[in-house]
Amino acid sequence: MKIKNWLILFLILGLAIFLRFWQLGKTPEGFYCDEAALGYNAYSIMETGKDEFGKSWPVLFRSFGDFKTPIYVYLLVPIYKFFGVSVWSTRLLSALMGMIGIWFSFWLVKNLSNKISLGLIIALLLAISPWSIIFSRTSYETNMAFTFLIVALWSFYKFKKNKKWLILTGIMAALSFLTYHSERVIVPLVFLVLFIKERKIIFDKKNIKTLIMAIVLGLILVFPTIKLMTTAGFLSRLNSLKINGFKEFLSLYTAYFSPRYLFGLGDASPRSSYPDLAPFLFWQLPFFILGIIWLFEKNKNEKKDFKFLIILLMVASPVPASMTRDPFYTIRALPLVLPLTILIALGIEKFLKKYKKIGILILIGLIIWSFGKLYLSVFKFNDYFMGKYWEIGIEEMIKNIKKEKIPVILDNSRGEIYSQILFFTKTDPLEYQKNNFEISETDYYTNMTRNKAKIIDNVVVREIVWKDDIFKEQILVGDELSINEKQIKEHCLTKMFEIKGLDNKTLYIGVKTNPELKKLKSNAGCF
Amino acid sequence: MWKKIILGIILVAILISWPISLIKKPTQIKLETIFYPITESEKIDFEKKLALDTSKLKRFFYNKTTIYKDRYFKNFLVLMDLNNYFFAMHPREDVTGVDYRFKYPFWAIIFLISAIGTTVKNKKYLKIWLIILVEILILSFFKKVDGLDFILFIPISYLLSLGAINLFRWRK
Repeated sequence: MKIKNWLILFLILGLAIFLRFWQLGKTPEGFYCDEAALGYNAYSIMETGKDEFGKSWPVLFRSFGDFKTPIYVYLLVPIYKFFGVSVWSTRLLSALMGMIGIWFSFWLVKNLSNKISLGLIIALLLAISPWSIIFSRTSYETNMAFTFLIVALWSFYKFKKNKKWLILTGIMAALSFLTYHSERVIVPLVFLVLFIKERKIIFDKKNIKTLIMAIVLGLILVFPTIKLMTTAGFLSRLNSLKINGFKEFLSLYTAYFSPRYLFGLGDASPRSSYPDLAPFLFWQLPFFILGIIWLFEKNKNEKKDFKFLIILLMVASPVPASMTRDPFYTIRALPLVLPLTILIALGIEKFLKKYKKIGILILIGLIIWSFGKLYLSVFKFNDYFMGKYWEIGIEEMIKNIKKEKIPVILDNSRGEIYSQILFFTKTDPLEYQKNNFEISETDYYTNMTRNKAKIIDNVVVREIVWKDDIFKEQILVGDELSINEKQIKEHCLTKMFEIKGLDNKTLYIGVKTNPELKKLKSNAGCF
Repeated sequence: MWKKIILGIILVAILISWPISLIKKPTQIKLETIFYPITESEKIDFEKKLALDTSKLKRFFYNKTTIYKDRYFKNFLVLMDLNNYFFAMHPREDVTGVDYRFKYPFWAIIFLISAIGTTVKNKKYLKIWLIILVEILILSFFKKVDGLDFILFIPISYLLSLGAINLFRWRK
């Protein structure tokens, strides 16, 4: 590769680094309960070798009546050892994976299409992709699983030149399978088709030893999870999300290719999109259409492997997401970002071929426009409009309750707030496990019974029971729906603190009970 | 012979769905455009964004034209939505003025894919796509497109019929 191309690649990576790492621990402001659960379990593993429920080195992590995949948690352990436990370090892993994903997407496309320019366009489009940015700046397993899948695909095509790469394919495919639920469908589907297509090379006598080694290594990694396939833990996610009928499936499936969703509506989930930004930028729509045309065209010079892989990823990526009832759920269909971005890149390449210098100027203008739009949405608007969905204010609320020496009741009727308390207070895992027994190690994957009440030092996380709790001296903490001004007056409560969001709306209120005064005033009210 | 009968039934099913839907659920056509007064919710949302950032950058992205641009693009994308035509807007039936009308049977989407394949290979069909695009670009100016969007019936039905016929030929 020429120095000029290296320079462009590093400039693109610089842009990607800025959009992924700048203010990583600060925005999204807030720390969602799923992120905190991943973080605290990693901390617990690091300190005790057990998760929050006291299970040693789990294969799946029990969490909020569901099970989380294990790789993100285990990879957080060395990050925590090195950088300490914080919001920033928890998200760092995802951001790093986002960068690795861009790097390998460049090489995958460059190698398959034999065009450096196309690889560079892909890297650039992924660098500014809102779909890629949001899952790189937040602690979700999906981004990591997607990156492992890209590396697996890259090494799979390298294998044609050197058989040793097949071993890396086996390991990476297995890791992708283990890292996120969607990849449990996508990875077997994609590699089964690729293996059938390339069977002559793969099952060639001289490659058979390497193939066996790759399969054995992959199976060793996935075997503990496969063993749990019939347990309630493995199936819990699927059971809670399944849809009815083929027509429903097809309607959800086609939504993943519809311009309305890709360039306009985006994901309805507030934690999966930025304000005013769809998964793809609006100006990319004409190039997307050009890319679709390329898909149907027959070109003598085209690389068949390249087109085949794009179609395969396009077909396979939305399958698991369409099997669930949520419409256009980008977190579950993240691998789709790659083939669709490639189509847009092909459209841009076609455009640049025709318009050359003017085309490049237009493209530079569009990139600058996109950067401005991203800057406003990611760094200015997101915390204001989406802050409450990222559970903003919890860290501040915890600082307030930690000052208190008397018992604190923290209302959890609308959330799983205990994981953030554990994370931000870095509660001693052994102490927590001792006080919060939920399930024995033997029933860990099979019994889904939950104990929603949690005891963390002087804090009890459970629903407020008004008829009892006001007659004990303690602090009650809840959101604006749990505790309001009328209740404060009626039950003789003293307001201790109030946490407000960026929009000045109340997020959490802390009140102190006055049992003596309440008994005196009975039902007459206190003021 | 059987193939011809099946093809005929398929074509009839494709061609009658949208007109029948209009007969069963008639619509009142209003020629009001997207340039109607700014609503309260649009105003609040817009003002919040203006207040959050006072830089010149924001002025470039959020100015007097923004609300009308957003309305236009929203309409444009609804008319580009595959699910609008084959799944009565499901799974996101949240567009005012569209009416979740049953336009084509959902299975006819396969013929659209076949039609794209055919039209890409033969440039003479390019004008059908151009007609659809121009119609969508014009329709996007209207506040309520239900009924008006029936002008898309002929080119889309033509494409679906073309796709069905070609698929049947290929099956031979």
